[in-house]
Amino acid sequence: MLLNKDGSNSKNLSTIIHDTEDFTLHNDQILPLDYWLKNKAEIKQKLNRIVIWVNSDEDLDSLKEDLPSISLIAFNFPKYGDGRAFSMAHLLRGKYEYKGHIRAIGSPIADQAQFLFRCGVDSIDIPNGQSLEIWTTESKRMSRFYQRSEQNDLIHSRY
Amino acid sequence: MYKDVFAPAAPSPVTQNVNMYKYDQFDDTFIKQRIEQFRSQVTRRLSGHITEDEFKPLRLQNGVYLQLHAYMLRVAIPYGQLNSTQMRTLAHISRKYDKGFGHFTTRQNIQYNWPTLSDIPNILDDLHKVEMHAIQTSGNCIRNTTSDPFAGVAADELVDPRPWCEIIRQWSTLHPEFAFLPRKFKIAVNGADHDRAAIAYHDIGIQIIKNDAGEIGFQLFVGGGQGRTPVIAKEIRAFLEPKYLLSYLDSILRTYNMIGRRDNMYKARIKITVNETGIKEFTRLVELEWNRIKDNGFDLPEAEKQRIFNHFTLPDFEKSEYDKVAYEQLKQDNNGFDYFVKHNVFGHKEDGYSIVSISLKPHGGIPGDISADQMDIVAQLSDDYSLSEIRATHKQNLVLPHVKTGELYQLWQKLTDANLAPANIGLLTDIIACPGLDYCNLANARSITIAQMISERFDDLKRLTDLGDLTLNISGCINACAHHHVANIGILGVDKKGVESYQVTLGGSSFKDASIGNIIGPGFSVEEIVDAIETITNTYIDQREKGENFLTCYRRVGQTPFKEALYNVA
Amino acid sequence: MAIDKKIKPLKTPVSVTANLLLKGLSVYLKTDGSWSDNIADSAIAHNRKQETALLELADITVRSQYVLGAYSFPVEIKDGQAAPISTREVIRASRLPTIVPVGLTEKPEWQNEFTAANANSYKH
Repeated sequence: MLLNKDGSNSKNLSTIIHDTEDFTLHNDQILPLDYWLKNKAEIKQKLNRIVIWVNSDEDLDSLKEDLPSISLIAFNFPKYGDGRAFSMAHLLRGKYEYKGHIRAIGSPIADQAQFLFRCGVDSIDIPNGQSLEIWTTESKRMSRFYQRSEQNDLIHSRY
Repeated sequence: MYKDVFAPAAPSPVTQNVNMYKYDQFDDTFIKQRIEQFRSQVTRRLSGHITEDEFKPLRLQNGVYLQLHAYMLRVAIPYGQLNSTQMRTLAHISRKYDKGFGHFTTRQNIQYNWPTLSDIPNILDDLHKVEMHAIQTSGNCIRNTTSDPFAGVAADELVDPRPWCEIIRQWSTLHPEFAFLPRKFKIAVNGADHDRAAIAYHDIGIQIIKNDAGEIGFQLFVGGGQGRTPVIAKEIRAFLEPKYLLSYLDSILRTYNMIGRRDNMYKARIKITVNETGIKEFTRLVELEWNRIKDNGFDLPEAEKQRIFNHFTLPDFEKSEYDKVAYEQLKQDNNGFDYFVKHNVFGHKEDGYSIVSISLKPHGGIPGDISADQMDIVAQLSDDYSLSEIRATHKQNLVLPHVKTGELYQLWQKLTDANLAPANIGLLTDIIACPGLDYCNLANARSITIAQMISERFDDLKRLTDLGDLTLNISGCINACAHHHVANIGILGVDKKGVESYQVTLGGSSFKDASIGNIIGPGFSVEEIVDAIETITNTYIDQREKGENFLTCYRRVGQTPFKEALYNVA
Repeated sequence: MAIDKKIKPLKTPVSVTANLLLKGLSVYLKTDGSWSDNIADSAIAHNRKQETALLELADITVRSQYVLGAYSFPVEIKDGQAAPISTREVIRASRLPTIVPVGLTEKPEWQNEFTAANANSYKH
């Protein structure tokens, strides 16, 4: 299940591809970054929507030139304590001026929802077995924050 | 007989007109919502919905540890400033939810050692009523910003650092990007000539300076820290215009968040990042990011800055006149008062006022510990003598910042009655000690017991005064919470096959001439350590030249005479 | 007692301890899977197999979120009961700091809370 930044939910129709050894490329897949980098031409030709996922230790620079053609980028949380995805989302919006959809996948926790949205994330793929209710509550927990961030339209900030 | 000379204290002001940051509706709602979030996290934990692995980072972000015997709650005292109402609430909490005492820490916080998990949200409610919280007092996030405990009043101060600390507090509180950093992150700001905030040992140290053109700005240091690898911070920028403070901090934090190591928690602090990347390259990366984001709305608008600054205007000081001859006479007639003035009283910006340090290091006492009754007494004395204001210091003491010099004697008498007047500030028995193995889950050895034994051995103020400026810090493990590396005499407790052993370092300093102490030789047992400290002080007395304090002497003569004396080598 | 050579011996016997979820207090695993204030009540393992069995028993109440952070630690046996060896475990088993808290001249009543005579048992 996806939790969107406006608080709504939607079904996750895409499959996250981890293993690219033995698989058939088709739409509705979230492809790993290195697979995309090695097979750009084929992917561009076969798919009408380019959707990829990036691990927290991978370099955003490698995506730079193709950003306009990528419609969704998902940041993976290998574990919730790895907070690089927050800065990566911020940089993707602010530095790389990415206009497409940003998603968080992997193992984020409900208490990170609001932080993720504020850093520029549009949707979160809620880990299996977790309560949608808790995620929804936590995503609206704070009505205000002190600092400016990438996505300020959702809350009341000091400046 | 002195009562005629000194006017009685003014009646307690009921109002809290302390020149400190006061919450508005925004702050108030913010804290309330954060408490509700924590309450729901505790509920989820107690009902079994989340495991300890999931709960741990959440409780830590609110200062809740699991220690050796029980949970521990660390409450933030932003940059160490308190009013008397807040101090009374701290006393109330220790009585209602704890065991009647609290522990002031080296980061200007206070810790309770015995709360029940389900009580903690209620403690936070009580704190909220007096505009306090426990947000980010632990965890891999930006911790309480610390500062000079004399901020705003010190005679040697260039600029009051408190408004800047408050700006950093607000910016760092629930910053969406920096709540899950590679490791904890500590910022200190100093605005005086003398460094009373140990900025060289912080992840970011900020010194407020004036440039050649007479403009105020920040000299920024990065990558200092203690722990198992003590490192002195390196300069990242010689002068930063104040208006860019937050964008510059954003840039340092973002760079660290992206490139800081996450493979090994012992190499995750920014000090390692800076050392491995090199300060030159690290600076280049930060400046690159800063040039992208500055003037892009991430800095504080002038009006918001002004709003915060307005809270810190100094109080209107009443004229304070006193009979200087009688005051000198009192010191002559009363040895105890003379020592107190010599060691615990400091110069205030305002004529006729003094800054008074309250030492929480009594004879045989527990460094930094204070009973609920003592907290109430300090609150009352601050009402009576210090415009209701109190400070907590990184040396685990308290400060009454605005005392009329003519009322010092009365105040000293009342402090003495409450066992709050040890005249040992800056002396050997002004020991910094972590809770150690008596409370802490990480400790390898006890610290408090050693501090108690040393303070009992060195009990004579004449002798302590003769030993002069001397810092002695005791950590119960390599995490160095008591900053043993930067003490003139540092003691590190280690575990030797289940038995406590104490390693001694000499020559550290946390002031402007920052240095890291050197290990002097093999460790000492609990039975041996106090004798060893006495051997060290005796060696100093033998070796010193006229006017030389311990550190200067040690730097001149080096380790050899101390080694010879300690280990009987010729 | 026949010694099974396949079962790895331990250098010293061990017991299992944890903290109560609600109060954080240190407690010791008993043979029936409940927990006690008093280390003397704790079950003792003499070899790896028994140690694993005790940790598995402890894990039941860890998983039901009643206690947390269970681990085994070396003990010596005095009068047939477990006693702590390392300074850390001695202090932990006393469930108190070794010092008298500030403001008091002698140990307060709460420091006498946990003795063998009034040991509490915790079951989930």
